[in-house]
Amino acid sequence: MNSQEFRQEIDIKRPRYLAKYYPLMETISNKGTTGGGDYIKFGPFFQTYMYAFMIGYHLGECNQIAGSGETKDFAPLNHWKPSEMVDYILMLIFSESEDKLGFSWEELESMNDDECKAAVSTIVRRIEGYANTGLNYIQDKFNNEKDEFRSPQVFINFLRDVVDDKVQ
Amino acid sequence: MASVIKSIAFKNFYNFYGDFENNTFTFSEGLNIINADNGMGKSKMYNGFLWIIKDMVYDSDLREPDGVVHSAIKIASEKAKNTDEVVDFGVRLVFEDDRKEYTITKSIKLTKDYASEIGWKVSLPRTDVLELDLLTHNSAIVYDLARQEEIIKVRLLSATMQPYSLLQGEAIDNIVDLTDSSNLASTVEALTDLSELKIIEKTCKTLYSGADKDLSTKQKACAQNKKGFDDAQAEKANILKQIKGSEESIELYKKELQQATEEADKYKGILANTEKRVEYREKLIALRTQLGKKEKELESLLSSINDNLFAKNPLPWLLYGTEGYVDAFIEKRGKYTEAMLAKKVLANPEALLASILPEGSPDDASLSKMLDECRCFVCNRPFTKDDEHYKHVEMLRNRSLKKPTTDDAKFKAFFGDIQKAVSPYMTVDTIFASIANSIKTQKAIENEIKTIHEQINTTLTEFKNYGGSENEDSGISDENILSAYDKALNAINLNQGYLTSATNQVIKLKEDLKACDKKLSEYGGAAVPQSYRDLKEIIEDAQIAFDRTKQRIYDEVIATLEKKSNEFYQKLTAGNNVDGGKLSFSKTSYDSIQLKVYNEAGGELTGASEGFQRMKKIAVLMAIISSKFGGGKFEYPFIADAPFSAFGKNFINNFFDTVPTVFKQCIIMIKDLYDVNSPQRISEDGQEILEKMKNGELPGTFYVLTVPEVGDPVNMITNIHSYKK
Repeated sequence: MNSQEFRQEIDIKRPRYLAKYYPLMETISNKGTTGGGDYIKFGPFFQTYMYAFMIGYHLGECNQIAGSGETKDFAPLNHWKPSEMVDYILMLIFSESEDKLGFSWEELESMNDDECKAAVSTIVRRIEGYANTGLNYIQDKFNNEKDEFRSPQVFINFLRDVVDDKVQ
Repeated sequence: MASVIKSIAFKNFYNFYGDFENNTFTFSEGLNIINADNGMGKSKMYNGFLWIIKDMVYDSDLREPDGVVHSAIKIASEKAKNTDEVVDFGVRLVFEDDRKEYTITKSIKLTKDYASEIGWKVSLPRTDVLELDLLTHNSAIVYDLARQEEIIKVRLLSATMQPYSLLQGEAIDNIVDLTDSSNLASTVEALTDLSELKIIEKTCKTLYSGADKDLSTKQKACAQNKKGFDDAQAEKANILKQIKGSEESIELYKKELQQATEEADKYKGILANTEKRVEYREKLIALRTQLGKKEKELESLLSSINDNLFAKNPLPWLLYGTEGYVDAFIEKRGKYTEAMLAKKVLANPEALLASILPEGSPDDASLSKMLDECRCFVCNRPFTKDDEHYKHVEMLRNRSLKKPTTDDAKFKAFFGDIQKAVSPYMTVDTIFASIANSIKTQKAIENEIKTIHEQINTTLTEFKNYGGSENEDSGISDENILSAYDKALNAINLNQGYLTSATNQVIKLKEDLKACDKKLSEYGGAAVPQSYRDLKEIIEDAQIAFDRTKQRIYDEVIATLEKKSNEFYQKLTAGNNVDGGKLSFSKTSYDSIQLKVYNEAGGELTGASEGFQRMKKIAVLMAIISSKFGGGKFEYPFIADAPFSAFGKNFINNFFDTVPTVFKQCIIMIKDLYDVNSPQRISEDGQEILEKMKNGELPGTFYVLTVPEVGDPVNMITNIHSYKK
């Protein structure tokens, strides 16, 4: 499998999330449109998902989805916009240590097609793991600090909170 | 009765977070000042009084009174709601009256209810009243609702006095409705007990009617000419019927005349201010347009905030806090490249060695030239193209092009593409500034909107003061006003004519009645006992005497009211450069009192500035209050949360000098004595009042309300500072 094929293998993947977060995704996403007058909605599902990923990544916890949990998915990665952000997410995953990733870049070179596919699955599982952590964080805020969502800055505030907590 | 409020306390009431003991204001007789800037709790405190006295609060959003249950969620402390599942909130007022002390507590309980739309279950409001005998110190809880009502609505503050005792915001303009002359008349009547005289007058009328009937019966019994008597009696009945009809018409004409006069006065005032109204209307339109633009700007900014999370330019905010992440990736990729190279060399070391030429060997440029010229520059021998020497030189030249590379690394392009895509995100440290700028812009627009709202409110008040109506942007056109004014003038002339005619008719009928009575007396003859005639005449005289007394008292009251109003008006306007004029009270032909202002030359002043208009009203109010008790002090507390700023500094000082001489107890919530730059937050004028209080020159208390400097609207609490208890 070469670079192009490897990327194609990633691009067709549809990262999942636990079905219990569907109402939250539905509530805070605008499903295909951006902007609008309701401040707690900020973008299509994939943007909510990328946002959740970044929150989870800053929190440093990759809680991978257990096999038995009911899950949902949406658009494949190559449909996510902006595409640079997908590259950024991949960059963050590939920047992780071999311990976390389960393989090194060098090992990737010598993998056959099946092994490459398994590596792609690992990458997607890690993306899901961080997004899962992020969604759990947002859900918790939504349940317990609903007033926060009245602020137009709500998503910026959460992001700043997790980044600033990390710095401290 | 003379009620004095001893204290008011709040529990989880708006910004007053915590139990009653943490939010208590104690008051004394005299002047009690609560000094605070906007938003610090003045109006909320006033709402506490409103709840106790009227079971309502003033909703500053809706700008109208609202029931406490309906407003319960807004009233309960935000901080308490954020921390507790059950929030008990309320107001406690203690007052003294006639050797008794009463403690009134009104409260409501909120219980968290996730199923409900508003999130809370609201209990019914509860009222607790405790009565303490100050002599025996016996106390009792008052359970009887009617008695509770009597304590609050009669003892604390009578319903008839509420309009003069509770003063808030723009209500100051309605405190004495000077455009409604019958209101002023009925106020004077209520305050001077003229109603009692009216009852006596009515009794006299009944007695007179009885005496007249008795006399008539006796006359009929004694009459020799029965037919002549019956005819005269029928004539009298007819005259009386006509008098009654005419008097009813007179009442109707008076009412019409009063209505038309008030209409004409109103339109006259409006017409006098046409230019000002046009000016303020245009200003309002401009301000509202400006407000619309700013609100759109804010809406656009707020709705784009989340877009910024993914916006490519300048940088997506989602990457806040990712400094160094791209660098780490590039470094890892560098190591990967090196590792791939090393791996390749290790796999085929000869390829690397073969590419290295011995020292002194010709370089690639020389080898290329040798191939071009078919000559070896080392041994200086020629060769021909494609012979073995040519091929040897060609092999040497191509050797250097076969250096080991990582071209064969399968994922070089994969990682390279990622690096290329993310390279613009290497420097993300500007995101913080970008977010900060956005928040700054948002706050700036919000402040601008707030300022415009304030300007609109001020302009609207001015607009209304000059006769503008809130329900119209363009206003009733001035042509319409002129036409309405002409119509009112016509109605005045018409009704005045009818009134004169009907009054003359009654005078004539009464003369006819006298002639008829005389005729009946003649028919009755000398047999009718004198006592019957005497009784009728005595009652008639008494009726006239009471009527004159009533007129005299009425005239005296009006004269006193005019005198006192002018005294207070002079005191309140003392030091002003502009002549506020002289107040004049006059009786109208329709049994009302009209108040007008005349300048020194005797010309009528209309459309005076807002400050003067309000001062005029307060002067009349003070005159009414002090007239009632012959110069004594008002027996009920005066509670005001009024915008004094419109009066100007001079008036405020005059007001504080005058008000304690009129009212036994004043509780005044004011922002005009607040100074954010003073350590105690009290202005120079406020300090003077405070000094007088401390020296004992002025009885009273002085409080300042503050909120934490960085106001978190959700958890904001008001702090109470007492400078004179």
